[in-house]
Amino acid sequence: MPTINFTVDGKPVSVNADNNEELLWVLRDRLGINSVKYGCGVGLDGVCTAIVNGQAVRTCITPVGSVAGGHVTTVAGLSDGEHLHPVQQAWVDNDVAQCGYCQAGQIMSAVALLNKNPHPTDDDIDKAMAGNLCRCGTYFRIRTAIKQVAAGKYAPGGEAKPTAKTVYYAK
Amino acid sequence: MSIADKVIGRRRLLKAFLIAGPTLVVAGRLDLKSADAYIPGTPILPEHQDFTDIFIQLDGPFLYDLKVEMKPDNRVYFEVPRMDVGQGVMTTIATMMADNLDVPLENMDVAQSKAEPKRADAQLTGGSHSTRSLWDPCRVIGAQIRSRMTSAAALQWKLPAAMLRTQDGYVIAPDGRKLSYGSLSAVAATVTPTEAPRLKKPEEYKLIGQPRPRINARDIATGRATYCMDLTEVPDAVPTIPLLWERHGATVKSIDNVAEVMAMPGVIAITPFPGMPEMFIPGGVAISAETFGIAKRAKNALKVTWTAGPMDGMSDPQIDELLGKIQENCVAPDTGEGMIDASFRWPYVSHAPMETNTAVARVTADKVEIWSGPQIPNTAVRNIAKALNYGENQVVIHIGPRGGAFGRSLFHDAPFQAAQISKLAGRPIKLMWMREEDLKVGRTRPTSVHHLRATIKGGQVATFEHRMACAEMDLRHGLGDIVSHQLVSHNNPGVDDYFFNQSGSGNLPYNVGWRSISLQQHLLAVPSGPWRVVYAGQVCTLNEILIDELARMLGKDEYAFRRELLVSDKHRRVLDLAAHEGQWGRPLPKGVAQGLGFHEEYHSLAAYLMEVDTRGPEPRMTKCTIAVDPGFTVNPQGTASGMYSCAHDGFAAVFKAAMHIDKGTTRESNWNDYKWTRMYDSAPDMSCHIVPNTQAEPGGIGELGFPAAAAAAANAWARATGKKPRNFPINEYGA
Repeated sequence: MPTINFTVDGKPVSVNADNNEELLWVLRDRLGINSVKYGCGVGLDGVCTAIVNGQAVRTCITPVGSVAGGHVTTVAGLSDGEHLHPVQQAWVDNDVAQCGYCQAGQIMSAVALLNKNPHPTDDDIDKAMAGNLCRCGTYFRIRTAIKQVAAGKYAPGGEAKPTAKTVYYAK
Repeated sequence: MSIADKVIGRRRLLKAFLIAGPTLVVAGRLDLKSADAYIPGTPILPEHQDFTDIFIQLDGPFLYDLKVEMKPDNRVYFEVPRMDVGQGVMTTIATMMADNLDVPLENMDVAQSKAEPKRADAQLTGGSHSTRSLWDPCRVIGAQIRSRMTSAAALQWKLPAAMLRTQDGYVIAPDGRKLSYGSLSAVAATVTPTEAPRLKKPEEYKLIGQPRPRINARDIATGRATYCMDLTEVPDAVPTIPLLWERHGATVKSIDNVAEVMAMPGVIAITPFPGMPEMFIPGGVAISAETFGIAKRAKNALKVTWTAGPMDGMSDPQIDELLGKIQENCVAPDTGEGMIDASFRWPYVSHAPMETNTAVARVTADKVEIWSGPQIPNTAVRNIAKALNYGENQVVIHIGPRGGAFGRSLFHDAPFQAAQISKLAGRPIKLMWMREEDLKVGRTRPTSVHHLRATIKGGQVATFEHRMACAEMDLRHGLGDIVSHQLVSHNNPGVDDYFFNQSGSGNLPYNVGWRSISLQQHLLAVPSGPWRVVYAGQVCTLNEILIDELARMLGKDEYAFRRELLVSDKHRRVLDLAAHEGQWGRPLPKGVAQGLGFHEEYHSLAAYLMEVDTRGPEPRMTKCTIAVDPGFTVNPQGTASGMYSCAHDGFAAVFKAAMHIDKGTTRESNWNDYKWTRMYDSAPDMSCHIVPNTQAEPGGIGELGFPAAAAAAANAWARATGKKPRNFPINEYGA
């Protein structure tokens, strides 16, 4: 198997994988990068969305060979996790997420949209977000969050508001 | 007034159960040996008793068993015996505990309890009762801990405890001196309280009632939230995918090319497994590989011969015919003054949570360890122990977050299969269903046919009948146990009728004369289970459609007609709020219309006013105004989340979603053919208006909105098109 080099969230990675292996599974199962999730495996729900060389892509149908030498950004790479990207901050403040499982993909699609079109209309939002399914029905708050970012409500590097800490599995 | 208020008025609080340790660890467990221990009594049954009231009453003793650990660094470790599947209960329950403790929310470390058989059936996430059921326990345990903290500080300062107060995790003396809960924790663990625990009054709440984002909103937005497949605790668990039946109920006869598939690079193991057919937990063949991508290729390459299935000859028309045969008839005679007699059909729909069925399992000679998110974990423990021949005390289930549920994980299909496969394969595995199996084989809301009839006499509704016949909804996940306190092993005897009548489906909050609502079921091999708001999702949506049609038949405005018939001013207030905020009757272009829907359940009320534009290729929700009376609001932002969620689910069920059965096989296999609400279906203008508190304790809201939202969508479409919705989804059948 060839060695494939690219960057993920700014860090260089090197992986032995078949060129045709899907980027999603290479990231998750070979590199242990879990900030992209599996939803459908065929590019229909956008759960696995990441930004590759500036374009939002569905990693579940992207051959890893196609990103050789490229730059992959997942939701974990948008900020240091403490000082948030405006889109992340808008997601928190609007309490967009419910179960949260699709939101990494939603956020990456929203970032890609706003990078290309800083002032999207409702119609632009409908089109750009059409491929991202949310079973909890968070679309209204996604739309609101995108519009708030477009209106300049959030500066980069927002500080966290204090809240309880989630312990994901009991001791 | 809640049960705790009533009892505390005349009896002592339950005794805190102290766990030995250097700091105060309270489990508010009842000490049943003690003669004066308080056992929550059964209140006089209210006029309408919700099914979940029964959960709360029967589970009383177990609900007070909450683990709260006051750490020396002044942090509070709190385990919640519920799951957060998106409904936000970890946030509401953590807020309730923090407020009752007088601790800042940011001092709380909040975890979901493991499966703990000591909790019996009270460790159930469902029925929109998580917040409701833990409301009193949080108040009582919070009061006890405050009392212990002030008593401990009183000892140290040699002051009467009554002079001390608590705030932000500190006990404060009249002169301003402060001691942190953490520093008092060791003494508080052994002190004899010198001040009686005092429950907070609603006006004393500082955190409860304030809007806040869910506590892990930041984790989710930064990719740090850890779902089952993101676990790192079992690094040698291999990615594993189940190949499951195509034809429902079929079993594996032979695997025909094992050697060929095992030779594929990266394939690690092929493990046939039986499942638990009597519980509709499917068996099949598990494929383990270096990555899920490789496992999926191997699954697609694997050739399996299946036995015949029990439904191989059955497609939708045969199922409909069968349900028609068991359906009861409406009986009211035509009055000659007006009658609506209508038949409706709902298809199978999938829960289709964004995270498919998942579980990690590590089975060794003496232990079964599982990481997953079953909503009724102790039934899972029982079934897994029995099937794998382990003691129940050898089965440990760690409960993590789930990417949506909507009822899907009330059953424990994935954790059961993962344990079985891990045992057979002799290695730890991480099991994930691919979307195809999750839709084709995963549990469903069963298909149903409905006959409704209403008659008019003297200008009034004289009778209202509703006869539902559906493919039997499986309730053997443990819900029946709560009622019967025994394992219900065959076809839900009695429990389904009881559930049907005591949940929202049995309730019609209108004065419509004589009414009769009934259920008939027939067991089919398509795996099923409760789906958000359960029977009411089908029943009450149709009732609301009939209410609209009755109004139009009588020449009345749909809003005014509901106002006239609703049973109380409390109900009318919610309807009025939606109608007012949503500007009922505002002028709209031809082809665009407003629709109303109303629902009462879980001691909460909801009204939806949805606007639907039917002028494009498919109907679109263009505006949605929601009014809700949740009784008592813990987190208005979270309440609105649940109500918005139901708007989208209701829209999907009415216009978009259906599973079809073709010769015993579910046709739909991914999002191309299983359609759900998307951004372009969703209204750019939505609002949720919450009635100020009308009760002393919260009602349930997680599932509340669905029937009202679905009805509002269907009624708007009917008013826009002049057609009558009968056969869902509308985008497929037209009407």
